[in-house]
Amino acid sequence: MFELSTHVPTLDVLEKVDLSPYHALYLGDPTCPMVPGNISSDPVLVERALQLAKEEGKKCYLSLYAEPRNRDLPWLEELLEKVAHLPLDGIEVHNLGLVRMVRRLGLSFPIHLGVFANLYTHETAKLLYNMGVVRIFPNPELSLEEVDYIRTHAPTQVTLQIHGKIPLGISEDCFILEYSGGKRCQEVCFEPHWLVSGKWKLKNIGRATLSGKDLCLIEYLGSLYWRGFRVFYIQTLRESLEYIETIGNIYRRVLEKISQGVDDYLEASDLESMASLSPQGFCNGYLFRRSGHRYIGRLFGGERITPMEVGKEGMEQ
Amino acid sequence: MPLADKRCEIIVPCGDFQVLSCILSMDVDAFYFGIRGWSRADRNQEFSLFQVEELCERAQEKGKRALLSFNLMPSPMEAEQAWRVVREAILRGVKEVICSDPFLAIRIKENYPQVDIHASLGAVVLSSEEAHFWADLGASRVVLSPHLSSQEIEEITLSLASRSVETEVMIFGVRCHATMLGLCRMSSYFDMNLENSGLRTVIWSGSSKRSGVCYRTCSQEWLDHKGREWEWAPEFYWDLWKLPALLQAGVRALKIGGRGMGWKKMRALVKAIREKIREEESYV
Repeated sequence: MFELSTHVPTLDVLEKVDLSPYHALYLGDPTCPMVPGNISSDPVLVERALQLAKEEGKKCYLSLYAEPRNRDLPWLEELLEKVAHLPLDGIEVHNLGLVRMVRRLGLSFPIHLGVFANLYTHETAKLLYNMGVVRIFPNPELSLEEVDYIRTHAPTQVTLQIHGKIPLGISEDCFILEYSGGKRCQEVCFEPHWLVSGKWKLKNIGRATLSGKDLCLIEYLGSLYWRGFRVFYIQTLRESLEYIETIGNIYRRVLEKISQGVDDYLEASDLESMASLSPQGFCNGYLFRRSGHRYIGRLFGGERITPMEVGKEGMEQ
Repeated sequence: MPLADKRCEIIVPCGDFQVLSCILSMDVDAFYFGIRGWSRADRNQEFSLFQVEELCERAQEKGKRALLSFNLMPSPMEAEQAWRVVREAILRGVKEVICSDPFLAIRIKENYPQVDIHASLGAVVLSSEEAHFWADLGASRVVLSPHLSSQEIEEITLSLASRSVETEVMIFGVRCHATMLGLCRMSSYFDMNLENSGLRTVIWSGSSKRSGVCYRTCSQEWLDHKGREWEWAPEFYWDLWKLPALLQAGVRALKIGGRGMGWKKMRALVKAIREKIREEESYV
């Protein structure tokens, strides 16, 4: 019917969080291989995580490091060879070189293209489909019409992020470590790092920078579902256990209602819970052809777009 | 000719006909230019499609090459439009295209196998495996990320040599720090506008991948929860000091970034690079 997924970076999260709302798990943190306990840096952890997740009936995709350099290629190749026999449901890569590596090693895993891979067009999705890429995560800068265009014009599945902070970029440097005063990864990696510039906020999780606000599409979820989107993703890297559970539960419940044809699916208590977990507020990303930090809609004090504005942009398009 | 024996070429940016006239008298091998709306330059530093023929002819007369920089990411709805523009430019004389979107590389190679493809800086090539991905698509040259060390550049260059695929390095340009060049959405997260431009009507100004315009939000003062300022601003770099290592690594193409650069500065940079190359060659 539909799939709801999220990333599970470590065994700790896998063991402590109730992941029952999620149908599928991306195992590992793709933003940095040095994250303590990162599942996708160690084949032993992959095997253990897979065992635990499969016992819970989850689909499992291995999420590989997003920006490998030459020094990373040998260990990634070794990792892939060691997990080749495991019952993984797919491999997530964020990098076209790793698409090539998975093929070169003759692995039969379906490939999912991750958010850092910069996919913008259905034509490239079609090209990659012929290389074994069955699912793509389009660049978050694309508008809803563009993402839907890819979905309807390429044979690949399209992942749609419906909640959580938007990945805005990835660096070669870990800024948390750089500003830690000589501490080690284990000591500082999971500390929250908010960055402020005037009224603007961002969240840094080491090498990756995320939006300050949480993308939230709950008020549009019915429309998205009936447009034909079926692969939904919630971004939860470095979020609290409560966040992962609560947000997952709300969206799972709402999606089930929507799939049964219920159109009045929003509940005040859910919106309050979501708001309490997102103190920096909400945005809809780029889906409505606006700057990513804005929230267009009737909930959460959102902005309204007039038909005139929509029509004008439609003409320009 | 084995790549190692090839003269090291210098490629410079060209934003208008005045700069072109100066470039044609410089000791450079090629220049890159954009078509209005479709490159990472300011819109007033791009050329109209109908000017492409003149650009290519004038370059050829002086024994230089004109490289079409077509390195923005089109919207999925614009994919065919993008291809039509590239095809028209090829029909008007372009023989080398710098691009970021894999589908364009394939489309060019399938329809015009004689045209050389360069994987752009925007393709964010960080490893040998990625470089080979682009070589598989038919690229004859891969522009390497400015984040790579000389050793990494050497490894990638060597790994491509057997396929006669070259590497190119930007020796003068901007290096991002907050995120890797080509993988950033910070600017468009805070500000993004729609604009009209030439034959392309929607430009996502604020998205460097879609319009070439970045508002450099990383350059602002960003304070962490302890009140410390994080130094995120991008830096201009001038890697002339790396040139001996680059030549040793087998790099035979050096690029100067900055479409809005004045010709006097460009000439000084070219002169410095050429002198350094001669100096290195004289040691051999």
